[in-house]
Amino acid sequence: MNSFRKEKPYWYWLSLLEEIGPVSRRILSDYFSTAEELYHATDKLLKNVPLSDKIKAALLDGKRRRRMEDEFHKLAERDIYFVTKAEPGFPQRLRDIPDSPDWLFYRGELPREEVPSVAIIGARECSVYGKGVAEKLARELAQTGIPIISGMARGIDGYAGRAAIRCGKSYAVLGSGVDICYPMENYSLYEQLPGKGGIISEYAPGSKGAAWHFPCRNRIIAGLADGLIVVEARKKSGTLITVEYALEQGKDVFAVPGRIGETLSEGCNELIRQGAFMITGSIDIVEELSKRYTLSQKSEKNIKNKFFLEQPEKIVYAYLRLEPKNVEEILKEVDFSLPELIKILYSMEKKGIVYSPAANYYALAEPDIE
Amino acid sequence: MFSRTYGAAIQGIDAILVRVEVDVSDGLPGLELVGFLASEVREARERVRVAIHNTGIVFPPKRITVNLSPADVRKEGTAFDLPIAIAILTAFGHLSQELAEQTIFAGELSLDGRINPVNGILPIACCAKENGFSQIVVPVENETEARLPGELDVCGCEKLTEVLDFLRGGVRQEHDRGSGAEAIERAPDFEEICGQRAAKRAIEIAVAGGHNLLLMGSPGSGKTMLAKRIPSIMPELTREESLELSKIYSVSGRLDHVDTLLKKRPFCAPHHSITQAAMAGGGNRPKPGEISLASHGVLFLDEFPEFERRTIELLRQPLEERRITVNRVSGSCDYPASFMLVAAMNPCPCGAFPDRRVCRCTQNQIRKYQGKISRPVLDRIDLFLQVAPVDYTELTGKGKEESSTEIRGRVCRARELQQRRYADAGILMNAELDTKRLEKYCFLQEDGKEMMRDAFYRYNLSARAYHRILKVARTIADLDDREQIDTMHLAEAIGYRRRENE
Repeated sequence: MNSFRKEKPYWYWLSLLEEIGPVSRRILSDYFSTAEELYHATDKLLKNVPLSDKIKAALLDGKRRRRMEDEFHKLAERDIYFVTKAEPGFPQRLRDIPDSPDWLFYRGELPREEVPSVAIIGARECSVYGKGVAEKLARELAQTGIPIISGMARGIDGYAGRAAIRCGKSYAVLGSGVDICYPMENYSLYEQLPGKGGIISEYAPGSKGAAWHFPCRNRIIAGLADGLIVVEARKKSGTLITVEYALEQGKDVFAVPGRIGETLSEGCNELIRQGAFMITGSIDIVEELSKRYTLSQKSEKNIKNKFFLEQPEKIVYAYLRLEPKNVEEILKEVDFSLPELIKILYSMEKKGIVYSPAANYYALAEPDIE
Repeated sequence: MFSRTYGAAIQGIDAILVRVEVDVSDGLPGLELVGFLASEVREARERVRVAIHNTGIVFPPKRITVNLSPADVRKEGTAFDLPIAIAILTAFGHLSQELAEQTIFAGELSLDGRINPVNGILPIACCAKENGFSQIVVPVENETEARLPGELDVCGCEKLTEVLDFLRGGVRQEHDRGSGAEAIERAPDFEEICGQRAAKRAIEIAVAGGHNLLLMGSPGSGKTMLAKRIPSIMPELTREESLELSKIYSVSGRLDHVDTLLKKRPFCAPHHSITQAAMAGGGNRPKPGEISLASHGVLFLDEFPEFERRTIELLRQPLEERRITVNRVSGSCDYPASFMLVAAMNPCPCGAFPDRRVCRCTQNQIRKYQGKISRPVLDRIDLFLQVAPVDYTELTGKGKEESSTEIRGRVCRARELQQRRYADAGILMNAELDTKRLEKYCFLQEDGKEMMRDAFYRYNLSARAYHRILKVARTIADLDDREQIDTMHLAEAIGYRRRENE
């Protein structure tokens, strides 16, 4: 244990050197057994290592640049934790994946080993349908005690994360440092996550997140989850990169089916054609996971949570769809006056059944799965 | 010899009395004009001299000095030609001083002695009436306009000789000007719009409470059609409003050949390429802008985000104060600008949001597009409305639609209620309620308070948005003829709030 503590600042120092990627690290590990050795490596020792001069210079220069001990101890003050692969606290799920990260930074906590977790990912520019499905699945799974892993990206990721922390846990894997919120629009989620799960990144605090970080972090999303749910994806979508990782790691991939001709569902439908599990409700996932984990009976019941609707609300409910409808359209179908209809819609919105994306537009907040 | 007569100078939308003094003396022959004159007034020198000459009157070689008093008010326009000519002729002894002093003159002279029409006759006539004049002589084309204030003896003249005949012997030349009948033009009416019940309802609320309105909708969903019909449901213009509006149009030279004051509420729809000066009023010689021309009517800004940002920003002050002061080097002018703002825009660059089946705009694009309009301007808009695209059955349907007259009836009742309620408060409409008055006049019962509390947290409302909802709910209750705002009114008002795009 003591050795870890002594080693850690050196690992931290290595994580700060952005020039040194995983490939260089693997080469270096052939010549130096610990990060501490590497830190103290002299010009002469590095001479034989088959790395470019630029990287060697970065290594030598890094020592002068960084007062790593001080910085390392300041991490804790900022509620940022650092765990290396050598420590027992490192997530077991990530140990065996290809290109396993050498360390993780996190705020909040890491997912617990004995609890199954599910990743929900999908298009950034999602439809209202996708939003509804993502929120419903995330909420129901979180209620069951299954934490939701996502990338905190705009669209599906963010909606799933937000829905999950309302009644359970969620973890976000970032492509930037854990002290940086990207995208800004998910700031409220970012703020809440450390208390309701965690924020995880393999990049050092302060890292702005280069474009290539984002596909890389997807392997951690897939790695931390036992199953991967794709809610909406176009034919050529970044989401499919995560699916590739999940398949490579031998994880289950679940896809939410969509209508034919719906470009936002083409990716999902294609996945189903290729053999992904097709899901129509969170129960499908729970059943699949309960083959491997014991899930409490009570939580399964939670899923079939039905709202209490009053008679006029039931009438209006029948005419609502997942795609937003203008009140104009609904008025033609129901026998209420405009103010009455708006009152009914408002009370349904209050119950969380209806969602209004724009003035006079209403949609079902989530699909009716029964 | 000295003589004196009167004209009037336009200031803003009003006219102030100007004394035209002429002195004829011996000395080096010449005609000198003084009194803070714009160049077109100074040019009167040549026009007056030649016009008098061509009327057949000998212009004696004398030293003539003309002073327009008060000399510290800038005089602009060509309406001073006639009073200057009359004052000179009086000084020459062709007319009696007494006659010239009882009359106000306005008109531009042609070199052949004809009198050409000028702008701003209505304010000049009003000024004559206020200053106790009994007669006014104007160009024949402006005769009907000069009669609008009433109680004045108006003489429309075509030539300088006619003016002389009138002043000498009261002889009036009859002019066949045809009847100034307005081309009867059918105003757009709401009954021509099929369906769109929700949009019509929101517009009715906006007009009833004097609220500004933002219409969103995909291209071709009928935003412009709806907006054009808004004046048809506004209460009729009161005489004061009508006079003020007519003056604005008169000063801008747009009050042509009418024989009554303006009765129709204006609908101004400037193109989005409009400059700031054209919008607010101004120019080297200040003129009322679109916001003043839309007074007591509707200022419709289609494609709102396409307007130059600064042009939209300058609406902020007039929206609050209902007037605008235009400051220029040559002086400042105050114009009324009490308009209802109706803005229209697409919800996103492609226009189809929130229909995600069609709209592929990213949240960022949508936010950027909607963000082109600054918050302070949005804060002055009470109702936000998304118009549904029209579907085929509606387009071809022959359903009986409510006429504008019926809607106006309800609007007028709601306005009367408000006027009675605010009789002591010094405001006219719900839209003018401030925070302090809101508490007094928008009292909520327990269930209403509970609802607002819930909405406040649910939608992350700002204090401003919260107040806006209360104001709109107040108007909805007024339309419902209820003094107490109930949850039904609140629910509807909450529906018209602005959506922040997450």
